[in-house]
Amino acid sequence: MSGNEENVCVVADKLSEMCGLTGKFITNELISVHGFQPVLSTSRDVPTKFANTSEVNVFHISQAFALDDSVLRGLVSESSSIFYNLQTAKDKTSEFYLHTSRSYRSAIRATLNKLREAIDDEDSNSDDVKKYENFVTIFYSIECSWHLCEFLLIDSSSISTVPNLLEWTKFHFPSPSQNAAEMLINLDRDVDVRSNYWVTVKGLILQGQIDIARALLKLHSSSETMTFQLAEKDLQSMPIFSSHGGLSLQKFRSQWSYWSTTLISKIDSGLYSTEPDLEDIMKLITGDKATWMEVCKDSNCWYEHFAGFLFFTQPSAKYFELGASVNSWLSQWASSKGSSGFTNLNHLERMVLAVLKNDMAEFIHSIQDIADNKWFVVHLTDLLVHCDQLRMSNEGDNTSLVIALRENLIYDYGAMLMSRGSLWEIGMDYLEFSSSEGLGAREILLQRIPIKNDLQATNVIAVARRHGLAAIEQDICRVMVKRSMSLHNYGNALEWAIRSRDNIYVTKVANVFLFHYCKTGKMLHKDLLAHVGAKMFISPRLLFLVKYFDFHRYFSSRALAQAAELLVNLLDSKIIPEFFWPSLLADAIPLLEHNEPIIPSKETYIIMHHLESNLIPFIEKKNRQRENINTDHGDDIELNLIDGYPDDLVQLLRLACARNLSRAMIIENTLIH
Amino acid sequence: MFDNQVIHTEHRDVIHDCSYDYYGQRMATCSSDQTIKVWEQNEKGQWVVSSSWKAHSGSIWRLSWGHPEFGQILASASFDRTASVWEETVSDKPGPTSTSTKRWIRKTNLVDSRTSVTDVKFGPKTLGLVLATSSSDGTIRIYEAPDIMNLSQWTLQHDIPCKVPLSCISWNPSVFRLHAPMIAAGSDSTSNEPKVFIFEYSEYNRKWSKTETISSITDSVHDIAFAPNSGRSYHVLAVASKDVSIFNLKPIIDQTGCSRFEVVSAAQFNDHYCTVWRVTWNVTGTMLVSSGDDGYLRMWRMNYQKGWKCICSFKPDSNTQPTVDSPPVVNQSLSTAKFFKKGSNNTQIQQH
Repeated sequence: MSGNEENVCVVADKLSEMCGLTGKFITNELISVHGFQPVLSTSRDVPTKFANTSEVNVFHISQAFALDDSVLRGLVSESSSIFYNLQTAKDKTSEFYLHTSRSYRSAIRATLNKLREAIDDEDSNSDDVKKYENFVTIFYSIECSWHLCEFLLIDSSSISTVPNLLEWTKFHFPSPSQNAAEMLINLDRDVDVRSNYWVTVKGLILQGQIDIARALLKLHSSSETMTFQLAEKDLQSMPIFSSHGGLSLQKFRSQWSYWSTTLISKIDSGLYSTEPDLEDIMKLITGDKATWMEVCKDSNCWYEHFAGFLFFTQPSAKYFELGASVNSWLSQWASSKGSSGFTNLNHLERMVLAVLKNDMAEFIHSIQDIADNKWFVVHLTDLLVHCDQLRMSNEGDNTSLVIALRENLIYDYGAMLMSRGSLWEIGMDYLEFSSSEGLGAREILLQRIPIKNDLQATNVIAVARRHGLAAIEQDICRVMVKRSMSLHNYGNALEWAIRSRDNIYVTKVANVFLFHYCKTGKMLHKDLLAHVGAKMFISPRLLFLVKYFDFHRYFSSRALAQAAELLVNLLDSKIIPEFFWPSLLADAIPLLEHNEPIIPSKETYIIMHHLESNLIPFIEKKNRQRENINTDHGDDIELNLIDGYPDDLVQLLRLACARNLSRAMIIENTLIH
Repeated sequence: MFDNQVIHTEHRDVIHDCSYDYYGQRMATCSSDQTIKVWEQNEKGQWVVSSSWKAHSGSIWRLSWGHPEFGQILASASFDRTASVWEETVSDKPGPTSTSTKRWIRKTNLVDSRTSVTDVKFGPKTLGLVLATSSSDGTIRIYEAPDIMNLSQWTLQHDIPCKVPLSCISWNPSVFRLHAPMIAAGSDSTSNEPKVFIFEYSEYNRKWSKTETISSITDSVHDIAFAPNSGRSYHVLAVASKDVSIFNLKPIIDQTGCSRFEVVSAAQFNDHYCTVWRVTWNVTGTMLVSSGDDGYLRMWRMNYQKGWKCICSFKPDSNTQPTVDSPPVVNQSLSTAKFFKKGSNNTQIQQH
């Protein structure tokens, strides 16, 4: 079955075992699975044979996700800002790439420190400790191989491969240096009785730290003896290759061969035989195979002494030449270990091997297997592609392949973060720099960020705007209107509706306000209505609502003249919802009946006109609907409204109009004459 | 390594469909026990049932959630020849002590089909509030709520006869390119004719018409799914038949303005070695899951070299201890299986 056996997830479910599984994606990162009985369009509807037999379960399964851990979260956000800088920087020099690489590594090291602190803080048996120890393992190997890539690939100014390799080895196997430092600080003469003295000296030699080894040798109690003096002289005169100036390669080689031949002859003639440890050291320096094999037996991993071996045998080796040396060293190392080589290598060892062999395809492949949710492969690949150091194959132009790989990795990482709770904003930044699909995915995923409250909605909208995805704003506003409405939170609904600028939604909410007023005589959310301002023009219904609210304010503050004027304007405005005619005309009665006449005759005619041509037809229509209530499902709320008014509303209005008209005419005619 | 959460649904028969709302925050399940259950997560992240009701007088085959900007709405398709639209309402009078109660109310019952309704899907929201159903009488029906604020009023807008029993439909969700509304339908009849049809709506004729038939598929089709489009220039359609097939539909615009497609088979997987019953895409259209008669669920994705690969499969096995409600564990040394990618096994690294 095409070698995918190991990617099998077992779903422990009795029913599914009998009938089979089906499932679907909930988010990109979460899948839902349940037992399933296939049906055909021609299937008869009978209870399945599994009915009432076993539990019917649904399983939600996701890949373990580490990056939202409180400790790793810092790394995620820090690396995202480094990533962002790398994408947006204008002046991209090789120093900039090196700086970027170091920033990433320092972020990893900071994380490693935090993880160790976290381990110290926890109870040593807790699950968290195991988890953090596991993270330490993961991020240590990431830092280790990143460091290697940094000086081999990213740092283009570095031409001296072997010294860098030695530095790297020193860093990751620091015990010889640490021990030496301790011995040198104490300066005790009896240092050689310590059990780790020779181990330390040899360790230093194996890391090419000749000067420190010499200093230690001087502390030895027999350092005044002939053999030690000879060793000191030989080590002092050892030619050191330096790529910066000094000797040319050819000159160095002749010097080295002269010097080492002399040393070999000294060893052969037994000058060192009195001090076997010194003799071993001299043999190592001359590249004596048997001695190196002996050393390898005690090594922790294959690359521990590789750099040292190169230092004494091929100090001028270039990165691209390392492949052959790696292979021969590895088989030598493996035979000394008594193992068959590659099979016993752990993951980090294989990663280091791939880098040193310059087998980037293998390296990228193997770092995808790290359980870091692809943090490493994404950031390293991106950086290597930026500085044009990623070769996936040796044949032909692989630029498009490499670009596709980078885009794909960034896409997956960004999409993953966007589907994982609170990291979605970071995910947006990654998708921005992936492919054109990434830009599309950003829009799809952003719309689906779960919104629990107004604050989150506002936040998603802000991010959408920042990324130029303004269309999402309207969608979210509409969703929020619907949600507020269903929770009967109409003030909120009105705010979101106004923000959505969608006439349908605004009208719907404004209607609720007006219905409520008709039913109860009370205005909802007065302070909100008082501050709608120019946005009232989004929808005629909202405009009416706000203007009607203004009328109320005039009326209650006894500014009756303004109230009357506004009322008449509203009556003539053609934006009155039909169901509001009774209410609006009823409002005219107190103005018409006021002690001092306020409404002039002309306006009174207008009121009378609307009374006859709008209110009467509306009442008749409602009466008809009420009679046909069983056949016609009219709007219940609208039907109820008319019940709130006395049957003689029309009569009262007519009477009030007539009375006001007579008073108004008397006054108006008096004024004229 | 997987995090695994089990939800005991207490349905009395097999679940036919399990549908998730737009945000993946709510779940609806339907079963041969004729009930629909709606679920949501409590503060502890456990899924709890919030409503459960007998919805039909036959098995319920399929559920579809509407877009949240139309409210909390669900559509169901049943053997009882109807499709229903449900809306959740929250009671108006939450007392000072009691929390408000939620209830799902049937807003409409669509009774036009004379046979079992096999599938129901809400259309893309850019088309308004529309719903498509397929039935075993071989008809696709498109319904629309002209007033999106009134879910009680649905009109049967179109009635598309296909002459063969239909098992599944899928809207093309693409909103990134200007193209006509599009529906794909599949048939599970046993005749030796093509089984997958593409329909497009013509604004000019105000009519849906068949614009493409995928002739290469003549075996029964059980499920069909357009991939969400995040910026491709072509449409992608997955078909569950005797195997999983993926087709790319590249629009060709000819002089008359009629759209035609160049149908290219992009992938075909027979890893199930048997009939495939369901196919579903992820949100971004980059991954696919398929369920086969072998009882397995397989997950597929396209790699950066545009090749499709099975990256993971799910196998039912009750003899393995379930990892029930386990807290998230990220210790790959314990891992028995990996989702998408295997975890590293580099636990042997020496620390210095």
